[in-house]
Amino acid sequence: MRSGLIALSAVAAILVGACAPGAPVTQSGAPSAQATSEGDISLSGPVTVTIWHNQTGILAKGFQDLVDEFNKTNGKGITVKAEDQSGGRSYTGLYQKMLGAIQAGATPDMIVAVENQVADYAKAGVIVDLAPYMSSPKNGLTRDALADIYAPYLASNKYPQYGDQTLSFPFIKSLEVLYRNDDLAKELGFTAPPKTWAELESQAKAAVKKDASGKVTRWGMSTLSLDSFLGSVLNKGGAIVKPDLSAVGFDGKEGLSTLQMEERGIGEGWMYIPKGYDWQDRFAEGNLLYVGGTSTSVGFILDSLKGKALDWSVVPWPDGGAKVRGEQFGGVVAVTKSTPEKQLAAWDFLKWFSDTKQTSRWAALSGYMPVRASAANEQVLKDYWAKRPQSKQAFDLIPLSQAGPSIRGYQEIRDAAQEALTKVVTKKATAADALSAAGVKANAILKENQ
Amino acid sequence: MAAEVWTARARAAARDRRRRLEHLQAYLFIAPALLLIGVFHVLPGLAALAISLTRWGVIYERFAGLENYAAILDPSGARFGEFVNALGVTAWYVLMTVPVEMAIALLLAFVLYQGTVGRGAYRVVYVMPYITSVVAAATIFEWIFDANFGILNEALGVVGIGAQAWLREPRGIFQMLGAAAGLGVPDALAGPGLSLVAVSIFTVWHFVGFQTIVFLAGLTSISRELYEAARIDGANERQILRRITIPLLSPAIFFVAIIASVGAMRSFNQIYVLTNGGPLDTTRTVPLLIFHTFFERTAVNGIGLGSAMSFIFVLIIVAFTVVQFRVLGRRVFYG
Repeated sequence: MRSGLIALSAVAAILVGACAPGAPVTQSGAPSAQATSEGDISLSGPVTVTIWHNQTGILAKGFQDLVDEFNKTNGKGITVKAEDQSGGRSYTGLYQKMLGAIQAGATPDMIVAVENQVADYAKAGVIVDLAPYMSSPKNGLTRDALADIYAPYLASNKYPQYGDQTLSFPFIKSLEVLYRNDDLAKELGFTAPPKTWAELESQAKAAVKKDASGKVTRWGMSTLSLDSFLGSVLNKGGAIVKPDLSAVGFDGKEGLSTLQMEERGIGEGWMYIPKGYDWQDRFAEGNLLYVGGTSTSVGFILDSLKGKALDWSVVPWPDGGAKVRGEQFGGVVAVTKSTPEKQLAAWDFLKWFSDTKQTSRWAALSGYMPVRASAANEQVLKDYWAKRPQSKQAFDLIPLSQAGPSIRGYQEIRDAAQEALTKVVTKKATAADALSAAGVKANAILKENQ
Repeated sequence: MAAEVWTARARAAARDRRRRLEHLQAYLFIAPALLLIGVFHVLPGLAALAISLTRWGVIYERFAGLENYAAILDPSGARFGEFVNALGVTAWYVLMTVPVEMAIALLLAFVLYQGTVGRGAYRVVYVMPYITSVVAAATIFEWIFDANFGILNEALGVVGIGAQAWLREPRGIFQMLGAAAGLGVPDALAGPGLSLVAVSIFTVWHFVGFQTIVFLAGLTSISRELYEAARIDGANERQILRRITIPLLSPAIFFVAIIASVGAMRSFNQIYVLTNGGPLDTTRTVPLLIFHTFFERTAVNGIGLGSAMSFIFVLIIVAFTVVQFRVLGRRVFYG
């Protein structure tokens, strides 16, 4: 028995030794001295870098076209190879692939991710701090260019668990907005968007319509998505996670008031409980006055309308007392540690891709938000917004947006918050109990991830 | 005399050589299969076992001995509760699928065996769900179970039963029945969530065809002469069923029971597509918890903990299968 255990341990040790990558676990906050100088080097020969992304269908084609253009025009011998490695499972698929790549020591040069995934990768010590590249006099962004990129988009790329290093760069950005059926609002006599959350609730209640049997056929608003809920916390002056990362904040009074509104909305029947994205159909039918959703839903709502005439718009969330009006989110790109030349080539591509012309074209193609304010002057976007004014309305709200924290464990914290919403929607618990339980769970996750 | 001894020895040596050659040939024949099984099953299994003895977040951190196992099995730890919950969900899932699948499959097999007109066509119909892609079929069932506009709720509405949330409903079915009867049922006795019932309905639909085919094959292999002889001896249909059909079908029943139980315990695809473990973990079976631990808790030793959970679960499946062999295996009649 004992010899069996020893043999088993030996096998385990051999396998662990064989599988474990050599790189040490680093969580140091200080940017490496090497990286500081690497931002200023010059490329001396052709360099090929790979980016793993999650774009599919027409977006993959559009992205590839931009990559091809960069490859032809960069003049430095840089070739970017774009590969969809998501396996159709978007960020989750990419994350799983990247975990395998890290174990094998064969990471791509750039990886599309959401911020908490980047925080995970950084724990393996494979991610480059981009601050030296961004600030490099030779290869970096000018002061004007930096000021042109929306501050909330840059802010989410600083990672507090790694000394606020800039471990990623904006790629595809969206924000949670409030859609309004303007025709219905007009019919009900609401000439302006709600200024307060109480006003939103009263307008929503007024929109309810029932059939002869008493069944609700028109609703004031849809139940809140997780991002609408978290956005409301920011909107009311709260924090999803406290800035010092000591505890979560979504379980505070701000979150509670939103969740209690949801509780009333479901109990009184003026909130529609969607299945997946079927709120788009209800909205297109004219049976929803308000709904919170991502800015990329503009295209899906248009699809649901199927050419039907309906006046609708993106309106600001009510004024909850804070400057932030809503949550923003989306993909970022992280550069992995390789050679100084490859890292610089990757940065060159990111810089080019976020430039006004490219970000405008990409936004017009994809429906994502451009990352620069100057994009508003580009004809391609003006033409796009002429057809989709709601996207311009969303664009105007970017400065008032804020991202969730870029920390390890954030996805699980979101899951805990989602549980609170589910409990309220399914009447498994009161808003107060559900939020309290979610807070306890999320704090344990936060502590575990410190 | 000496010559005879020599001849006997030579014969024995030749026999040994022949036997060794036969053994060598046998090993050569099974070598490709052994190689494949070794590379793709045994080695990854050993690697997973090794990883379960480490603290492995995004990358290998350190050797951890049995820490991960202790973390999962410590009743005061956070992992214990979710693992026990997942085991409970898995147990309910197995209970709601395997016996139901087997009962329906047996019934269908008997009906088809009786020489129903168009038996071939029926066989195709029953086996169709099984050969359909789980993911595609589960997506269709998502629509069927849709809380707002699903055809199931429409059908229930016709008979006066209110719309159910199905895949989104975390409340236990006993709790729901109790509420309908005006009784308060505590959470501890709530029973499986309606969401798990919905997933189980899909599973039964999907696998019943395969089991029907196995039972039908079993029934077909029973000699008709036995039935004729029993009838001549005056046996009635019930006696024929108890004394001939069931005993001779018992190997097939036993096989299906083992395969279906292990399959249900390891189920992943349909649950992942239909509910992904939600709502509120009411469909988070052990395989889904392992997946969740691997890919959503990676940074906090998710890979180490997930591997340890896998091994504990393997032991549970093996134990369950051994019990099945002990309890059911004795009753199997191999003719």
